Amino acid sequence: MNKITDRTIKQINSERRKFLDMLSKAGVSAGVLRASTIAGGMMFNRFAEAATNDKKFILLFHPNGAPRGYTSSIAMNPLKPFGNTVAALTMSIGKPGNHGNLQQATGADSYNGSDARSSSIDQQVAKILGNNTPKRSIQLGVQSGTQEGINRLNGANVTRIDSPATALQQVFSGTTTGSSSSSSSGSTSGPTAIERKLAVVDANKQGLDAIRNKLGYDERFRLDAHLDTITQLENRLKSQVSTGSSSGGTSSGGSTGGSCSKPTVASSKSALAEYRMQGDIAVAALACGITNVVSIQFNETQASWLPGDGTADAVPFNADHHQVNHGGQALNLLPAVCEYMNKGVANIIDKLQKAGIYNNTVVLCVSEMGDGVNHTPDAGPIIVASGISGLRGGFRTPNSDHYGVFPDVFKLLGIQGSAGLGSYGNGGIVT
Amino acid sequence: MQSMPTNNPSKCTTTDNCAANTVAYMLSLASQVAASCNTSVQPYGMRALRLLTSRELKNSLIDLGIAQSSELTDDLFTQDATYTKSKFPIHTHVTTAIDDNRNDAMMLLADKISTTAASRLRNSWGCGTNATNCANSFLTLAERIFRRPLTDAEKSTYNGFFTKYGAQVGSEIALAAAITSPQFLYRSELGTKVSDARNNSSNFGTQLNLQNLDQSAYILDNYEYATLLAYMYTGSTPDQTLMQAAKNNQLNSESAVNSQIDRLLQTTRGREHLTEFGANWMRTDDVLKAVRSANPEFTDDVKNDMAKEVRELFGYVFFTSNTPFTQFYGGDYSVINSRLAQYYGVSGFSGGTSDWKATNIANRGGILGTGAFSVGNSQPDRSGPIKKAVDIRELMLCHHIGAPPTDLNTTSKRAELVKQAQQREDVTGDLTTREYYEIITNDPACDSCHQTRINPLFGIDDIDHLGKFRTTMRGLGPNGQYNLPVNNFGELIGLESIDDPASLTFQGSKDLGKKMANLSSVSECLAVNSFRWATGMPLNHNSYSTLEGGQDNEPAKLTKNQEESFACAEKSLVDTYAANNSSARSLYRKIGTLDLVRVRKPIDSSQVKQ
Repeated sequence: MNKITDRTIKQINSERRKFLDMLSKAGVSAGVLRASTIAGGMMFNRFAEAATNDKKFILLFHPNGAPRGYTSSIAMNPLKPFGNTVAALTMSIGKPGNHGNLQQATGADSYNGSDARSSSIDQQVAKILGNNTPKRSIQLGVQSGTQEGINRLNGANVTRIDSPATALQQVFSGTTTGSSSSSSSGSTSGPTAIERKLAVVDANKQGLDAIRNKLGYDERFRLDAHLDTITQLENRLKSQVSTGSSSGGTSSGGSTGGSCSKPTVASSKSALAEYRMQGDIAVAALACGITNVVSIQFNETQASWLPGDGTADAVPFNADHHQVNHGGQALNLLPAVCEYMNKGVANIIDKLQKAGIYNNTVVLCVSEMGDGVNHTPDAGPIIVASGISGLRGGFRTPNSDHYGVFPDVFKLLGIQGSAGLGSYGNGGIVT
Repeated sequence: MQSMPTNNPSKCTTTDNCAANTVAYMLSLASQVAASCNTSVQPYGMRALRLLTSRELKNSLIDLGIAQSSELTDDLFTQDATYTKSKFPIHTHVTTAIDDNRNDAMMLLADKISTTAASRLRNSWGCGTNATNCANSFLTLAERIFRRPLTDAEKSTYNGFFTKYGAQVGSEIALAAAITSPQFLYRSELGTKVSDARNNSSNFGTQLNLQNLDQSAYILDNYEYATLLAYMYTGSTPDQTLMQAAKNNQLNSESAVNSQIDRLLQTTRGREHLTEFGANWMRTDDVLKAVRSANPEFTDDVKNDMAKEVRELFGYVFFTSNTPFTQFYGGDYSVINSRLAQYYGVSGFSGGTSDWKATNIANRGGILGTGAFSVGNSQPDRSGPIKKAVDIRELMLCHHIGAPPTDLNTTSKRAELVKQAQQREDVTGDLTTREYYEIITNDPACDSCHQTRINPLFGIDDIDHLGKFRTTMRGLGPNGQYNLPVNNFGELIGLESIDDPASLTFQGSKDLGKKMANLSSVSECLAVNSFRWATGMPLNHNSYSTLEGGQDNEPAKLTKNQEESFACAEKSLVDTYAANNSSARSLYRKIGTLDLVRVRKPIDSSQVKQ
């Protein structure tokens, strides 16, 4: 049954994309689609919403929870300037509640690829908000290592880009704000850069089909994700051809909504410096309409990053964050360690405001455990920040597992009830 | 579960996964009994597509003449998926395929290099603006890129680029398409069904008798086998010689294959690939992340040298004739350059920073004596005897200790111990690193691992957090006393397995290295890790990958038949090692001719992590 559902969903998605592509070329706007009784069926809601919905989502992860009472500590200092646009919550982190299985912290608690909850919430959101942008979503990391992390799509791990330099290259490649494709701009006649890429993609689809046919259906595992990736790229390229746009994000679905400029990065060994750079890249990608969904995983579940980074933001400790949790008198430094990480969050909010898109962006920061000292699920740090009207800011201790915040995120993004989103309850924690 | 933990059953709730963790631990204990070799079971490996790792991709592009090393900057590549404690980069289509990030990265890479590369190639082909000639030359190259002859459909597709766009643009697009293609990016270990292979045995020349194999099994054809051998022994694409051997059905006997293997191991790539294995296995590249702000002599050059020292030592032991692998642990020497000689205080070294020589050093030798092993396992201000001891167990002896408890700070006993250690550190200053860790682990909750498996190994604390040998140290803390004696007495309890009551005593890292070198655990662990590096597969269930917290992380587990047949393969590898004077090279060489790397069965969903 699940295999059939999986195939059916894929087929529906493929046909839906073709249909909207055809309508777009015919000059039918997405707004008309929403109003149309013909198009009002649930099958097309998602794409209609994406075309007119310019909301954006940033998902963040900080390792190893927080010390009890962290909202009363200096950990909150970086966020205080943003007033009631920030909700700092103390909640139970029921899943995973301890080291490892980071994808459970971000809502992916199912291994069944057909289950909406086999994707992390950024990927769930990207299925709705990511269809008409050059990149469906962007996953970044800060010294996050190579093991599977917070991002899952249909049960499969999604890779991150840890290096800001690499992220800058890859996120802004082929956009008018980024470095232009050097090789494909060789001559003034002949195929355009997009036409070249479409030729490449077409050849690769043929190759992938041939390989997939050698495998039984049950053997394909992640190859179907590869096919989906190529198909998505093909559709985005065709969309750019049809709208006459060769840049990212100025076509339908990815409104710029504010100032857009490519950030700069420099090499650094400081975790916070890298966090800020990745944050700048994330905000620029949103502002430039390259994507509507970004995630940043700060470090990993062993919290091996060094707070004593030699900068003005350093926490005076000669070992890694995890050792602070286990370190006797060093426990006193935990609020400062959390403050350090929250400076990264503050930078993102600040840049969103400066880019003029904070009022349509939701920032959610989660962790994999609650009480980091005792490595237990309770008393975990959850932050929701947004300039969207309807967020109830402030410091609270809701009597709920942190999954209870996810419906509120969906509501703020205007996508609640959409097909493809996991069911996490009724929310009402921050809305 | 209703009455556990003792006196506090309510602690074991669903929210902290206590029950699940306990069951998982009990199951893991049961699973530690290894399967026995069953020679009546035909061995079959796992049918797989393997995405090129970033290193394999770089090497392949360079060796195909498509890119130059300077063009392939690190920012063009995505991170590899890694498995096991050694974090081997392993991609099978079970867990790793091209996703958005990888696809974007490959398209960007193609964008960056295809114009220059196409121009360079056209010049070498001498085809000028003649689209037909350029197309023909490209198709010849494409056979190397795809590592097999092209199908008619592929020839038509790639020819079409030249027909439609001409020589210049056609070659640029064709090259971009080829290097981003699944045919290039995935290594095929899918094989051909045995029932079909029987009808065309000339493509499957092998010492195996096809009639003895399951009809439903798959056998790698000559090109797939050549590809496998190339990446197994050089980490790069098959060269012309190997491709020709595949074409001419010359991989049809063990001796012919061994001849190719020996040739590959003698190449520059071969040496590089095997030394990379040694460094990856020992995780000594962690030294490159070390920060020692308080110690200016610990420069980036020193760190890089330490990382290279492990490669040079492993390469020396692997490639030097009549050098048993036991020297990697028990040798009186390391392989160093002039900068490390000065750093370690070795006098009389002749040569420069580019001269790497096996050098006898009084108080160090073997992997345990390398700077990287100690620095990579230390904190910025103190050595890491626990981490070093765990690495000795897990990486070198393949003894599994398991994850530490996650609620270390919840007991009053623990708080008292930490306070006791802190008092000595902050006030009296008479605490050595060894004593610090012995104090804070002196808790019944820690005994199961620390009492016999970890703490007795603290005699290896004679190499400090800077990678330097010491007999004394300054006490921990701001008031640390000088010249505290470093206790280098230790005991390895559990020799052939972690629960084995037998033990040996030692004094210092070098002595431990010598005494452990000949343990059967060492040779078995070499077999397990060599097999994993070469094939990506686990050799037994004890070597399954887990996460740091102990959760299962093995991409595809062995079937019962595979466990039994792989046990025979393991025995074969260890026997080969023993019969050849403990030669790591002979063991690694043997992997390429095992039946199970040539014949495969599909991975069933029941084998895959859920």
